[in-house]
Amino acid sequence: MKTLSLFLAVGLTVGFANADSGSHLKDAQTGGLELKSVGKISFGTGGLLLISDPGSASVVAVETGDTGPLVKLAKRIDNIEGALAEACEAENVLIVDMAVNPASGTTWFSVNQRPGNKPAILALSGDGKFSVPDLSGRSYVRMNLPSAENAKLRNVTDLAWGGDSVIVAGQSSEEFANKIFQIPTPLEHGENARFASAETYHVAHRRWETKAPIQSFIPWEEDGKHFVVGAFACTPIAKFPLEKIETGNKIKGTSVVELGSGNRPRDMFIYEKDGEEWLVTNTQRFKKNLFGPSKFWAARVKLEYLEVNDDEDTNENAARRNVNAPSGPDAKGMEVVEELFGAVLVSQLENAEVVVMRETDPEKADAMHAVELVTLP
Amino acid sequence: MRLPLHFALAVLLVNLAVCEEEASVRIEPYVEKVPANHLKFYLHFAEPMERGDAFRFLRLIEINDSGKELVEVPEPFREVELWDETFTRMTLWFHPGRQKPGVNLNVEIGPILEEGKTYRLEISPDWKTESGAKLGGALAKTIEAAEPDSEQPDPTAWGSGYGIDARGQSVILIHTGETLDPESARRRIQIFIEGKAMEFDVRSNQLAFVPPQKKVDSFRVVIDPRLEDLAGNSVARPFNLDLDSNPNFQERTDPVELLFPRKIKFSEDSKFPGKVEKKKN
Repeated sequence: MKTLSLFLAVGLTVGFANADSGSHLKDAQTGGLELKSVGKISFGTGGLLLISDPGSASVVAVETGDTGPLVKLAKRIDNIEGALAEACEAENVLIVDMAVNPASGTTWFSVNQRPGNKPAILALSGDGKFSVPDLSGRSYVRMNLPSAENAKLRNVTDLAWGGDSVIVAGQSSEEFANKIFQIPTPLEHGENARFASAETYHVAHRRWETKAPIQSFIPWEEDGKHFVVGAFACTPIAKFPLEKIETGNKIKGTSVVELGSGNRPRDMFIYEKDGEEWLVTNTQRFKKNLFGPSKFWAARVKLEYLEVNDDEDTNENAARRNVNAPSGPDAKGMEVVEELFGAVLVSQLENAEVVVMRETDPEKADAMHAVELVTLP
Repeated sequence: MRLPLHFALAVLLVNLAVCEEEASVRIEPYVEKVPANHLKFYLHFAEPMERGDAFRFLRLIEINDSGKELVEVPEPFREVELWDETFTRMTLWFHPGRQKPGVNLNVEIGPILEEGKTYRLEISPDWKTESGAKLGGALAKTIEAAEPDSEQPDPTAWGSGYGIDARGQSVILIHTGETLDPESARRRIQIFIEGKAMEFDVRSNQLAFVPPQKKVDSFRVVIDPRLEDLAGNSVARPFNLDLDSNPNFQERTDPVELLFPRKIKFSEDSKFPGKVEKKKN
């Protein structure tokens, strides 16, 4: 029997039962955490926060102590930038990423403070209060992203807790190249990741692209095998077997879905509703969006599309979204998610409940953003 | 998504090819003509910059012979900020999906550069440094789009000779035939004399280094096959490789080693525009 489970969902279940994320860290350092920069962030279990620090080509795992109880965001926050700036006493902030902690419902932000570019980690609790969490006394490890080349991959496009490892997607600053890193638990200081380059068939391009970076991904399990399901620009979704990652090699992905050209994925997650499992990818269009009010939009795809492995259904034969059918029977299980128009960042709280940072005025790029809890259909 | 740009108050356009030493930003490659499928620029700033919304401050316009703006090129950049560890160098990519012939964005929207046309990459003076100061004075680089380049660099065709740099000092030049991606050249090329690695500078289609003594018997160049030209073609493979029609294509993985001759002559193209640093012992 085919079994599907999302690592993160499994991990969260474990996390609620066992808030001791310390078991994931080995020889952790307590105190002295300094970030040179902040990039993508993501939560593991028990309040374990993963922070990419691209300036030092590393990922930090820190026990935040934010382990609950769960309090969901009660009301929409308008002008999230203004509220975060006030919290950290900056003139303003530029939000880099957002991650909701499923254990507590608190939404965490990585930001650059202005003027200047001082990195900061800020938090919004479910009751609408903002804070600057004091991580200086928390246990952490800094995991350097290794490179067999003569330079580090400094841009982390996404990172996630994978149940028994941390998975990181990165790209080179100088060359059109990608890497998938897997860092096993227990997490510890130093270079412990194995990594590989991903090779993917880009359905819309109708050719193999060996260098394009993964923009966003989720860890995924199918028949006991662990995969990374990654989304690329223009917008194939492909799965890569984690067992194939060996440092320095290439792993060939299997493209299973094509969402349409001209998009750059931003976040991915899976949820279940009325007995149907959906993979959601929110993206940003390169050009004007002809089927919605914003360049930021999302599609949901029935999870059964990820299960295909035969040549008849993958790569050049992968299923394509019907761009003329946003929903309904003709969409064939690949639908536009109306609730996520304008969603710049999306982070999953609990199944169909997601925290969304969205545009307030699609015509004004300098308009402040709003944050709210959204329940997906 | 990009904010409206405010370039109207720009009063001074500094052509960096002329005035690179004084500018608050240098833009590589230092050439005025690039292949129409050119991929990226390197913006070198004098100090760390504010990051996160860099693309508000960058735009590409098509210009006429007198430098007048004809049209702004829509959505030219791959909007991912790629900085070095000092946050003073940003790699600015044209969108590869538009620059790669035959792929969907290239077909649907068209290429970013068209052969024979002239463009100006502009950096807004409003972009701030980490210290909060505006760059001040608009900065720009003018480029002319030449024929697209789909050929891989061929180091075996490279030549060498003595030359003179902008300081008037004697240097050894390596002529690479085409302009290489400058950062790739710095990372992927090594030059050795009697086992010692030489520091070198990259300009246009030349590499230059100051030899440790006036006369050099020979030198060795080791080229990592990941070395790229301006269009992303590497020694290992062309950038636009269709594996469907070339299923058996084998990327080169081993380095190319060149041993230059015992008697190095004066180069015909002997002027090197940069000021080459001497090897530090």
